Amino acid sequence: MGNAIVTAACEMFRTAEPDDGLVARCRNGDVEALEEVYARWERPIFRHAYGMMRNADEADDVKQETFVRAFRAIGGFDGRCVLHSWLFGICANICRDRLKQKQRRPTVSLDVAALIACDDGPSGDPMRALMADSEHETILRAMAELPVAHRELLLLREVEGLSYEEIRDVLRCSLASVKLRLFRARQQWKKRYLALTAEGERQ
Amino acid sequence: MRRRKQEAECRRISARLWDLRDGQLQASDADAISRHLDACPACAAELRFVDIAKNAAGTIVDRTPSSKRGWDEISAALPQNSPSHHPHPIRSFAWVGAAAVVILAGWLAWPSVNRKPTKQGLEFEGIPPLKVDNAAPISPLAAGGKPSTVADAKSLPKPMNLVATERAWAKKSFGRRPGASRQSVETQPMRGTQLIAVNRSSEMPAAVIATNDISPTLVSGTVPSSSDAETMSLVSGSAPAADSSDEPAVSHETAWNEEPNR
Repeated sequence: MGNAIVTAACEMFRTAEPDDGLVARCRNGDVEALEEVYARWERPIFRHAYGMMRNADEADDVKQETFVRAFRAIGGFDGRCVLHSWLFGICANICRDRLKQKQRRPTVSLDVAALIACDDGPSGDPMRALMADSEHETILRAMAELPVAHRELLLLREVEGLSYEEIRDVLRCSLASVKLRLFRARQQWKKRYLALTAEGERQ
Repeated sequence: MRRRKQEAECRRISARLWDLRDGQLQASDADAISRHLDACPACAAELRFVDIAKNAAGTIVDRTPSSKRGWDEISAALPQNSPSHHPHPIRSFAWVGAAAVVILAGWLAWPSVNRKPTKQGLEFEGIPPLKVDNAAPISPLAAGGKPSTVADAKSLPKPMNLVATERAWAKKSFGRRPGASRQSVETQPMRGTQLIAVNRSSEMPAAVIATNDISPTLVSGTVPSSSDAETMSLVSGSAPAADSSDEPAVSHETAWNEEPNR
């Protein structure tokens, strides 16, 4: 259902004004156009950052940095991909960089479960809030425990509803690579889900 | 054989179940998969996982908290409401023009910069400044016109000869190898405005004589006399930049053949 909402919202945005016109206005320094871009994609970018960073404050920082970087570099946007793929690409790079920095810090626990339990912002435990029922909880937990590359793909496809072509533009790889990596990510997701389910039954 | 074929078919189907749920398959493919699912409990279980996963992923959209930071912060972070960051054409030309002016100024100023050290230079290089005992002008060292280093040197009381201690001096001042200093002196005669009397034993300057005026003056130190010939050497700390071709060249070879104090 969520996918349908997102897809519908995306379609609505796309029909409101084509990206090309909006980008052209942005390049001319039209602040209203920038604000419109922000209004269209602020929520999906924040959501993606939240899924990647698993912390509301960090996701907020990533979102802000994404838009600042994008608006400063929008003159270099060549229009070879759609605007939101470009934005997601910037967001994904920032998330990856930040997660790498996090891994380098010796004080940060690399245990995913510990991150889920402790790494929450002032709004409360984000993942726990998402886990409304046990099945969804297990599924989302399984996703949270996946490697970053797999989680990134699943968020783009299953949460944001991006097409394979759009994901290809975000990740800057081939279409075949996207399909193969997505297939593997889904397999790993299921494998992890089954493992967590088995653990739950044992307990 | 049939089992292997069945497994291969199940793998192919399971890979397409996600696309089936996304509505991205053609009707004929969707029908074929549906028929397979009716007959294959393993693939049907796989499809149930797909449904649960998609539903769970959908809840992320609804349950993600709101972002606390808004547009105001971003617009404040943008440079001067000029987010495209396109270089302004006038500004670009201004930068190019400024760079050209700097390069031209550097090129014009280079000859005046490329001089041997003056008194200030000596001080800068760690050699203590000379005590001025006699600031009164001394008699012209050369008659008329701009005096040259050699003419000045020859006009000094005999036997004050021009013994170049540049080699040791340059080594001390610049840390150069003697050979390198010699080469630079030979190929590029000194230019500038001063003569320096150097004590041979200590290699310290004893007097600095300005020669760029019609009447050369003692800048600092005391005037060398004939009796100083044994202990002092006159170094062309400088020479007039202009009309150097009309004047006799400094006998650097002679100077270099005389081994200065090391």
